[in-house]
Amino acid sequence: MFDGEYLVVLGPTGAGKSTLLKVIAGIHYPDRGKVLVYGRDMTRVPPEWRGIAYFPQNYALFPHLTVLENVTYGLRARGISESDARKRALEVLRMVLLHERTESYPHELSGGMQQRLALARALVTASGILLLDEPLAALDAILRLELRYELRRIAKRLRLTVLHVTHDHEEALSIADRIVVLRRGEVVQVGTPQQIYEQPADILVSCLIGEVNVLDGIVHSVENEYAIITIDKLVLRARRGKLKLHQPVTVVIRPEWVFVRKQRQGTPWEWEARVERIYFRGYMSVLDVSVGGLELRVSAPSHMVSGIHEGDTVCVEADAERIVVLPYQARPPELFEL
Amino acid sequence: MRSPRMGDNPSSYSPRLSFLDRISSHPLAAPLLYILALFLFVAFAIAPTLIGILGNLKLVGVALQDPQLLEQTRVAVVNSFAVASIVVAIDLVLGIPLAWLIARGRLPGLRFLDTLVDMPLVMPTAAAGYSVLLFWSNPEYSPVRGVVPIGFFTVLLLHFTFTFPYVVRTVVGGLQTADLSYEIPARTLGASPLTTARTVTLPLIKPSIISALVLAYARSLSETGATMMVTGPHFFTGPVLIKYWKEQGRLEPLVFVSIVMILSSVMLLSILSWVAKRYRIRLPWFSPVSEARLSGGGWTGLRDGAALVFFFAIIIIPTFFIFRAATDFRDWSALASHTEWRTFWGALGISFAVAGLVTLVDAVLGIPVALGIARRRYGRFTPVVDGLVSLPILVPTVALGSSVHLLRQLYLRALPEFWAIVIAHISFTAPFLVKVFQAGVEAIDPEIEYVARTLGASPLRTFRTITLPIARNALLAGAILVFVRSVDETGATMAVVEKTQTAPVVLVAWVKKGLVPMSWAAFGGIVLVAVSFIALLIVRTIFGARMRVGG
Repeated sequence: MFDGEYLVVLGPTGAGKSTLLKVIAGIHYPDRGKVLVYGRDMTRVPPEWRGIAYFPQNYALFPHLTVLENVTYGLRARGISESDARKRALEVLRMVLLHERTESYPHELSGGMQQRLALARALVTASGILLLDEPLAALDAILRLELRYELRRIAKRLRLTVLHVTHDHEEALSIADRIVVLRRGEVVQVGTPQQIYEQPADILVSCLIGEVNVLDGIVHSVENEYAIITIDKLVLRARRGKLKLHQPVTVVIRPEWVFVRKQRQGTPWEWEARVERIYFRGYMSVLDVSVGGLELRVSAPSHMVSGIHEGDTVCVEADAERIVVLPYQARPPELFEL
Repeated sequence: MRSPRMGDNPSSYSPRLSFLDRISSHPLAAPLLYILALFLFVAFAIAPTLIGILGNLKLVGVALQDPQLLEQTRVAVVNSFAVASIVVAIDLVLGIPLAWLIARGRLPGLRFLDTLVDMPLVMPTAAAGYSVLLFWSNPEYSPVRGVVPIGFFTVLLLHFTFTFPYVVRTVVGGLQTADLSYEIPARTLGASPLTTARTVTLPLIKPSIISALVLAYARSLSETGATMMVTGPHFFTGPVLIKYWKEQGRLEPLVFVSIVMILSSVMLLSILSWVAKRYRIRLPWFSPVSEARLSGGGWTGLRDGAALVFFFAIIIIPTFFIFRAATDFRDWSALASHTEWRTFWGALGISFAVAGLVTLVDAVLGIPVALGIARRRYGRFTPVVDGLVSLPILVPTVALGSSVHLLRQLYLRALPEFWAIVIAHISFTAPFLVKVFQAGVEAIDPEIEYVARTLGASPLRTFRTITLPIARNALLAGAILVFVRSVDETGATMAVVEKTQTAPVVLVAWVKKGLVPMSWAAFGGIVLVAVSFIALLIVRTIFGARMRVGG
């Protein structure tokens, strides 16, 4: 991780995201590998000496302490005097708007307030690193949307380095500087949200974020910069990259990477498709089409597909510049849980 | 706000971190603590019970030659198990409905009933024993004209009094924590209340029922002093027989009977709890239609009525009947002057001194072990440690006392009797403190402790400021349990020493040997009850006053 970065760890359940955080925080020690912080080996250093703030999934607020006592706990544990601790605590509580509830107990607060309390408690120790384990999972949808930007804003303002774990891909895309995709304890891909979205390295990554069509085929021929790929009876063109002749491949096509036309244009890569369903979604519309025995989901700006109805025939062409061709991969089981 | 860099030395934050705090962060500190605690626990609580017996195993060979002894032992052991089995079975059949009534009923006065259930548990069994004797069998006092013959039946009636409330209370606890929402789907699917209870609720609370069963059984097998009061000259249970041989000064039969009792208890109860946990006990019953009919108001009333009648007629009234006899007490001057009373006051002091010390040692030894089990610090040996710690519960206390006695004879002759009693009491009370505190710690989300650590609290500080305050009630409950149990105990005390007496032991002697008038014995019983009760009240007030609700 880079200093001051907001890194989001994304992955299905059981991928090891929480465990990763706990290893970094020092709650568990890894069997293999090292944790290096600013060059120092912290792998077996007890958590109380790491100075890394940890925000657990269910907040783990101290039920027997008041709001103020929860926040001053870390400071008092480090030997800071009661009065200094109070001052710092009130500063942070003001930042999260809980300064009026200092004498309440956690169970008396609403879910959103508890989340803010947990955040305040983590922030007050002024360590440079913050680990968040699904900080927004327990909140209702509206709060979740509002607070995700709050989190990033606070982190940037305080110049914190944040590791934020989530299973919510939209959350990841909106606030991450970079995203790490984790699967079964292994890093599948690291990149900016754009990179993850546009150039997924793996079927799982492509399905994790946004909608996608996944098709299997074979490289039929290669010429210059492009490769011709056959998928059953369909033929399409893609950037050649490192593809070899006759290599089995998996093609990833996002709905918006397909051109939709009402008339044939005559290119060899055009397919004739029947519209099964059409969904109007404001600016974009989504069409489920069937072509050559395959089901495809495509999307286009609504004005381009006005007048198309279910049962109509349209022409679709995959955008050779954008579609992603990966070496053939069997479908991982986690795919079905997404 | 200042953002420190990771290079900062932690001690630059904290000039006031105590030495102990810093030690506890050392990676070896925790493992050492848990292993040491376990070692001490085994040394003080488990080893004494085994060494004495094992050291005298050769005596068993002698005993096996004597057919009369063998027969006598067989009869006594069978009696013990027969009594325990009958008592526990009826406890379940009548106790579960009563517990249901208390936990789910909507009658007025149920809270009072709830408190009433706890009352016999506060009563030392020695006093309860005398009370039961007077109520059922004494020609002078008994309202049923002493029609119940002393022996098997009085023992049964006695054992109900200290097992029934325990079973009821545990089941009430289980029902109160069980999730009602499982019953609702069953009912909406058409199951009658009785069917729902049998197929949904009872299986859900099975763990608490099993543990109540095992503990009640173990308690019944252990009970010595009060049983001695009500057996008369012909009926022997295992513990009574052990005490008899102790009095006769015969070592071989003593060891023999002790070993038989220990082995049979441990085997039976282990198998019982293992089987019960593993297998789904499908209670057979009539057809759902009959169950639906049995759920009706008339039958419910009959069932509840039977349970209530049993509770009052067999448990409450006989237990507290001793108050009636005590009202006859007139010899107030004897309280200070008579030798027997002087003995009694001395014994009372010894009882509480022993109990206090036992509670203290149990806490010191038990807290780390409980923590170790609750937080799985013993790794994959945690279940083994758990079982090891629970072992003394399954052993009849009188056999434990015998074992410590033998240990003393073999290696520790110089040990004063008082301390022998303390050691014997530690061995069967420590597991209770461990189990109760363990449950309290397990109820705390470990994440809370993790967070405290990441905030900078050393393991010791985390324990002091987080774990202990939250689990305080469990610790207190465990300590009270241990204290009361120690004051109550007769079997181990009588088995381990000859001359020193605790208060209940004096009472047993008074009744068995007819040393004092009946009203004196009754009054002594009342005094014991009252002092125990006051001690409990004091403890509750001191610590209870700082209990906070919430969280």
